[in-house]
Amino acid sequence: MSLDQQIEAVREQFRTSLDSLLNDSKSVEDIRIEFFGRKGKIAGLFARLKELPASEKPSAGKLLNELRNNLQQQFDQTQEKLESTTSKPAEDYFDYTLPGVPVKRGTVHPIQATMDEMKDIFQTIGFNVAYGPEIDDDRHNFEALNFPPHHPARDMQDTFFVDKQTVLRTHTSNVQIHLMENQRPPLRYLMPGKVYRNEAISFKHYCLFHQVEGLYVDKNVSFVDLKGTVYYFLQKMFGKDVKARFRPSFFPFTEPSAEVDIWNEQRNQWMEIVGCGMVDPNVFESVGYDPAVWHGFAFGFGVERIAMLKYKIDDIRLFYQSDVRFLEQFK
Amino acid sequence: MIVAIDWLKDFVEIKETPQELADMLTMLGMEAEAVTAAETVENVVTARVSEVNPHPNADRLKLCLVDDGSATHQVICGAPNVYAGQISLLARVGAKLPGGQKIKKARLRGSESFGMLCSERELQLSDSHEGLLDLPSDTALGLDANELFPQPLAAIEFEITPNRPDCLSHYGIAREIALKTGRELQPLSLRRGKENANDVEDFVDIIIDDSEGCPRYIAGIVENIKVGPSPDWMVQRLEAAGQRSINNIVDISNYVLLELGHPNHIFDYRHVPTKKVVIRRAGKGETITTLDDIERKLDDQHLLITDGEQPIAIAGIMGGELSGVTDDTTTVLIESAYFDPVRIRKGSKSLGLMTEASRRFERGADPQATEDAFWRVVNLLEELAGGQAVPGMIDAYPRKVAMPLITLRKSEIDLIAGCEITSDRIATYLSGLGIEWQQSQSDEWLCTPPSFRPDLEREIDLIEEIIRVYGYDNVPVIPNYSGVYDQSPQDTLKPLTHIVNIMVGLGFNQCYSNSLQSADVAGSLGQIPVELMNPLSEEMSHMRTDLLTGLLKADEFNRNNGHPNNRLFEIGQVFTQTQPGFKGIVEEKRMAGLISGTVGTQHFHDSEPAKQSFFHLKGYLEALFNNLDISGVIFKPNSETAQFSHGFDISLQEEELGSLGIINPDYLKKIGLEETGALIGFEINADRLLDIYTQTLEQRRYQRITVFPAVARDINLVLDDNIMVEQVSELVENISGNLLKKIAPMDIFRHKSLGSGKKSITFRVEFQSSERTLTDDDIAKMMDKIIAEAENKLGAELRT
Repeated sequence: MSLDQQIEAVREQFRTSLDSLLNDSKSVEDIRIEFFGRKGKIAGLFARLKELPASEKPSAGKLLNELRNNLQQQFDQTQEKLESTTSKPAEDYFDYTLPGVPVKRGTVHPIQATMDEMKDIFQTIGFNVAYGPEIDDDRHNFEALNFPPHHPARDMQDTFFVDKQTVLRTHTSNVQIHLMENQRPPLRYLMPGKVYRNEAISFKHYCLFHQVEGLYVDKNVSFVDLKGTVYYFLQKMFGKDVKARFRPSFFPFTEPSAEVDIWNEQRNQWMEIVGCGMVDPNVFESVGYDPAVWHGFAFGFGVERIAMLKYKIDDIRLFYQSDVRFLEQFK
Repeated sequence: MIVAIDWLKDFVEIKETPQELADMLTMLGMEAEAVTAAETVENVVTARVSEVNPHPNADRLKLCLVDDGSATHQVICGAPNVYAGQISLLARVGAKLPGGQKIKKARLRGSESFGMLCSERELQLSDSHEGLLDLPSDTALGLDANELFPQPLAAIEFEITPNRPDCLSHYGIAREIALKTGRELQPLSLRRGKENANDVEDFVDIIIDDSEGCPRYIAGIVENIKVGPSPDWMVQRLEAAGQRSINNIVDISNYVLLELGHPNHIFDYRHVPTKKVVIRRAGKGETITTLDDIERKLDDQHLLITDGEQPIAIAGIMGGELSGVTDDTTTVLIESAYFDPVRIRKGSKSLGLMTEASRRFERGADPQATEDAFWRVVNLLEELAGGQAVPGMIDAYPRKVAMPLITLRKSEIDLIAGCEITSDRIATYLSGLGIEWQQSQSDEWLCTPPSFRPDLEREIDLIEEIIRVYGYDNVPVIPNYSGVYDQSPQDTLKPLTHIVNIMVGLGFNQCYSNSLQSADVAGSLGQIPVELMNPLSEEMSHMRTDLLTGLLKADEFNRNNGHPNNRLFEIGQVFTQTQPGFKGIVEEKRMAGLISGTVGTQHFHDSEPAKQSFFHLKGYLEALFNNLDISGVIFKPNSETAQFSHGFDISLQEEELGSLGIINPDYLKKIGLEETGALIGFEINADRLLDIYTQTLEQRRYQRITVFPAVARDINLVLDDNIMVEQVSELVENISGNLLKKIAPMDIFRHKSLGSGKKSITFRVEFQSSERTLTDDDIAKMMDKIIAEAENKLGAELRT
């Protein structure tokens, strides 16, 4: 078939199609695709242009353009005519059950959300908030916190070293020292932040995590206040019925020291949630506070641990994978 | 530390179940990690199958007569390997098997069975359920199964904090139980030999060259020992405590270590031919092959035990291979010493060798326990290895270890505890802790801690002990807050919450990426990253210098998990090493964002969602700054960036805040990520953003609402392609000053009729005065001026 013949054939087919449109056996969209679509009949004809010798191309192109414009015009007219005749749904029957236009909203990371919630709770009892560096010197991470150079307690801290005197902080306790170096007591501070441990990565451990440290220094701060504060927080965070126990432990920078477990009904076991204690007099001395005058307590909560308990997350690695299937659960 | 409960009973009465004991000790500071309950077997004995007859009603069952030495029982058995004359184990009626199963008289298919013949699995000896346990034919009948197959003892594994070396022993744990329960602690009764005997001095001479490293060294000789297996009770206890039995001599050494917590060492006397033991500093580069057959290279911080010529042990850490006990050893030299904790710790650390002995020495062993441990080893060598002690004990004690004298005030206890603990209780606790005390005045005690508590040095250490024994759970819970503290600054990151919320509102998911990266990734932007000395792996050896790399990785992860359309952001610290050393590390808070794929997913109202583009990200950023009320942020091209193929600086009043751009596919390849469709990212200095936002908040003032109407005009300019919209806006701003309310481009049109390299842009300009209604004339004048200047300065042409 020559191109001319084909053009005529398409023209004829189009006419038939328009008829069937009017008697409703074809939709407007069907016809648009059949003739004007990217793989439609008109495009098919244009594709044949490249088969023609160069001398015939201009005239053939002109013909095809005319065809397209002509058919398009007919199509538009018919469509207009149709629209004026097709029945529109009555106002009463517009389908409000169709979904609304979606609006995407992002999500706050559970670590951020948990830290914010913790800050809010402690701010109600007068804790201010301070921050400190993630890379710090030996003095602030260890020495001033009463870790003598060869003390076995340093075994408990699986530390990343940058050089012999510089570490990725192993706890937010370094902020305690920075604060006390720069301020006179009394103090009541919360210190959230990221900390690092040189630990093999597993569902339980990651090479970094977040802590919320607390420090309260005044003349008459006691172990009773420490317990009161920790329980106050636990009840706000986990509900009035939270079951907790304080057991003796050891940290170089507190004495007496305690670890606090809360009862996990689901796992039927105690889960450690915070390490705490009364600030060791040596720490006060290292920052120039007189331990005969000042007393205080400090605590360090693991943020991931709290988020894991609260949301029942069973793998700590999920926090750092940026998997939107995880993130979008925290709306 | 694993403690066998049966072993504790040598020293203190135990009434609690293993779980109760574990809980009690946990609340005393010894955290129980695992409790192994004892498996008990009762009424199971060896017996001979005397007859095997078919069961009248079941093909697979046999009717057996079984003789346990005192009676014959009819027992029904289904095991295929049962035969007459077989000796096996019979669980008699009333027997208790491991796991709690009880054996009763049973009726099986019409016949009665009085007991059960056992397989290995039923006794938890192995998983084998193949058939009956087949014992040698000469096994005596009626023997209790417990004698043949001792069941594991109940044990508790504790995590002992490093301040409590005294609890790394059964005796130490028993002492804590006695202290808490008020029960009596029964020390070992030891035979200490005659007091003035000195025969041993003919055998060995002790020379301490380094008394700082070795304040005390006790030695003695036991002859005629016979190396052989240890008795079952010892094997069982050692196994319960996690120690494999080797032979009686090695076992005795380990047993005393676990019992009293004091390490000791047993040398084969043949390997001390010089008849002397010299304790000295190792020389640099000196070597010794230790018991585990590894040659260890030493330096001068190590303490060596030598025979005056050859090293025979690394003091407090591990014995030498050559001097160890072998099957033909007959005479042994016993060492029970006290070594300096710091020296042992340094030595153990530099060798990377931690042993049961070094663990105790480095935490602080008991210098007084050396003697008890010595006699305990000697006594056991006599009892269990047939040895005879050479009379006497050499006690070289050049440097006495003194305990401090501490004043303990009740007033301070009350202050720290915050609750009343009576003086009587305090005195009782002090005694129970082994602390010698005198009441110096009412409510004040002069205390000397026992030598096994090197951690008790100060008053606060004693206060901690008092509260610990009193019970942390007995301290009341009273939240008590008063007083307003004038603390500044207030939470400097408070405004960050608002920024996070804006980003979330714009559809971004907040991420927390790993701050540790490979050298390649961390160095991909040309900055020097902070490097770790001891990384977990090469993939995590450096600190990140930017946040976008983390988000790019996150986007790839999500794309590979079926989520190609992402909006991600992160706020966190980045680090650069600007000069060597700690002071050269610069830590900065950043915020980064990344968009990929399409703006949304296809849905009913939008069949073709737009692809994320540069202008989308620019729009998000403009929305962010707008929400923060920060105006005047500009974006200008920046050619110097590896990360972006089209990069732009984000700046405010000449200050560079960060950058944004289209991620360069080559950069993705460089950091090991797959190429993909357009990714557009930004990264800005969050510290600065917070400062600027905080200032903005402080400077925020109310603007009076203008009552005069605004007038809008459209103006259509034909411009050269290289003229940017911003140039026109600036020109209009300059002319209109504070009468300009807003100018915005509405449409760009290109057509050959305009001429090549030309475009026509329609701007909508709105004018408003806060003082009067603008007249047509005002507007016309201003428009004329705008058009004239646009023609002059920008070569524009008015299109009508």
